[in-house]
Amino acid sequence: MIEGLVIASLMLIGALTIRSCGIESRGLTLVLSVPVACAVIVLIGTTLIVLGIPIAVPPVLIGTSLGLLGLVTMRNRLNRSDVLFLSLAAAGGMLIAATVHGRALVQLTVDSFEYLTIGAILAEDGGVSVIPFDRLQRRGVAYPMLLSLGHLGNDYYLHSLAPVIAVSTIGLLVWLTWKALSGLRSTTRTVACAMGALLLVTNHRFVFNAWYLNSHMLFAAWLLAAIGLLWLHNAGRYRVSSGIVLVVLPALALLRPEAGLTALVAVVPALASDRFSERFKGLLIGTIGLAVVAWHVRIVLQAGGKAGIETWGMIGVGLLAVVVGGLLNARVVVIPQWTPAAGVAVLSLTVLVLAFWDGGIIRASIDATLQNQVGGAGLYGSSLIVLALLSLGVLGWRRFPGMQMFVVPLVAALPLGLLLAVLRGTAYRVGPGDSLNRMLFHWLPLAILAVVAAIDSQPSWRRMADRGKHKREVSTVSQTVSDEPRSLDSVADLET
Amino acid sequence: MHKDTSRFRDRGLIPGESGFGGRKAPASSTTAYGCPYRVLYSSALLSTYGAVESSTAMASLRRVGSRTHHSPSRFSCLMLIALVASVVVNVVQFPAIEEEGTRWYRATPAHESTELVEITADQTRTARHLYQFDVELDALTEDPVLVVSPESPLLSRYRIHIAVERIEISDRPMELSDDELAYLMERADVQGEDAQLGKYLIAVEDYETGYVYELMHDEMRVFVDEATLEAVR
Repeated sequence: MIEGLVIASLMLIGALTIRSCGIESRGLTLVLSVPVACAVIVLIGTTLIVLGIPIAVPPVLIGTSLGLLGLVTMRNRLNRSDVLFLSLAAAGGMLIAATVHGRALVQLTVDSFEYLTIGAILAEDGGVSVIPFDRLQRRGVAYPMLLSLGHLGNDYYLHSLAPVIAVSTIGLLVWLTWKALSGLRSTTRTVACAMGALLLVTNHRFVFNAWYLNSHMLFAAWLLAAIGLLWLHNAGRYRVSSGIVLVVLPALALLRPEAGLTALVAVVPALASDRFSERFKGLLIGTIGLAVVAWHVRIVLQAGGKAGIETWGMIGVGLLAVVVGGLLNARVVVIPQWTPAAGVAVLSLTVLVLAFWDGGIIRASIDATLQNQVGGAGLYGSSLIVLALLSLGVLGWRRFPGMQMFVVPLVAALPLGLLLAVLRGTAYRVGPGDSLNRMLFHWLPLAILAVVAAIDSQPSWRRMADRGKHKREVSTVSQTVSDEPRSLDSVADLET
Repeated sequence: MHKDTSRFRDRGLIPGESGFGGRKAPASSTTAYGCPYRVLYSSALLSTYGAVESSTAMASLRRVGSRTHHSPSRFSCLMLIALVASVVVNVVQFPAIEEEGTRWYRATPAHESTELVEITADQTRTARHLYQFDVELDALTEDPVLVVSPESPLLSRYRIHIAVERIEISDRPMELSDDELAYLMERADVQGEDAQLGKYLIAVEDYETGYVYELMHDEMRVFVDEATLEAVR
């Protein structure tokens, strides 16, 4: 019962946050409410911890709910229909929570116990001073903070958190693919959306992560939400409010030790796109950088001089992001459109150089990854190989509006993973518990979205032909450009 | 075979679209697909999913495509076939993966579990269960494991987890005093304040059902190896 109320509260917080960001779509609200609520809780809770204010999660949850309720009520009065919708959504959340709690199934590993430990400390003590800094560096407080909500019901974690996030991820994928294929008739659209959802649901690791006490499902949901919404806007198919992305991505950067890097790599195409305002780009990278810096400074303070290169390195990366964000915001610099391609090339070359220079770790990691994915030791079956071939194939030889938003995160995933192995100093290993094997799940929904979106695409060679025609059709282009969706501006979009 | 791309232009997508190479793609009129690319895609995808591709499936999906506004044509059909085939592959492989490497655990508070009473009646057996539980979960065969029964003064959950990483297991049960526990925790590089934490969570596997029951108690007993035993004494 209490867990059901917690999930309903999360749905309410998420729905009100989404509404306060100016998003009216009830479908999007429904599928995104719990992930967004998790992001809100993580950002508020982490801010309090960084500031040294002891937190107890229940007051944070209740305070956030009341604050958002007041904000939305003042800004955007809820009508009877809205209230009915929110009530039904909350009731649905309670129903899912009750069902899951009754089943009481769970997947546990040693990592889960570390998250549970930190969650218990947050729930009982409210501070992180008793937690060794290396554990803070490795696990963070974001996911444990969410697990600790279970203490409200005298449990050690929220049994239904991962399953509800999994349901949200499926819904979000369907919503995104439905919008992505808006140019097709409903029959094709429906079949494609259903196939995309089935491809996700039938993946064994998706089912595993839907019950696993770890942050992977939430990571995948947040990544899909942020990149998917940015892509829809970049492609001109849906105007997304910037507020949601600016909540989700900084929270994602706090979820895992490498999450800040993943988030920064993933937003590079948006920074180079002319569909977003410079102000929004500045906020996008700046908020991620700020979250990374703030959290790792807290770890440095806790470490008392023992902080390692991984902590200081992340502070450096975060500071760089903050500076770039500031320069973008001030319109001092502009990210060239070739930056994403150059970034992926540099990343790949770096890994290649490292492989030749001191390639023991990288070679061992590649070998382990091959055994995991091709040999089946990672328990994905052949799903990732098939999906990788499909997604890289369509992204390489087809084109559709805004597709670079998918290209960079997906192509950079493996080089980034290998680089992380070098940075941490140990190779990946064979088995389903291997870090890279588990991290690959983060990109799974995004890859499926890219593949399904490519159904409504053109061969990439058309671009070459079109370029030739471009000069002859300048006047036509100028005429049509005026019909483009305008650039995303954070403040303006919040008002719409 | 022609492809009408006016839908992109009508929606204002083509003119502002930024390609990966950074150039804007201009508006374009209706142009033919290139046959080589059709052949390439057909060959690649059909060879990958040769078992699934059939004239019936193809014809069926083409009928779906033919009802669209923009005649998605053969590529869209092939993509749909590829998606269906991928789903089929996932479904076919699922049971084998499930059997090979996944076990489901039931999260049941100890006081609600009658099976748990039987398990904890045999301390040594409990320890063995937990040992195998952790080893099997993460394949950390080199990492010794601890554990426990809900009978003696105990560590916090946090300390237990540290103990799981540091303390050697033994078949010999040993009940530790607070001082002895403090020594062990010091040996495990744990700060003294952590002893203030009062709750813990461990899991006990039930061989017969395959489930793991969560133990939520305030007391437990620790098993250690001979060397650690000597050090503590």
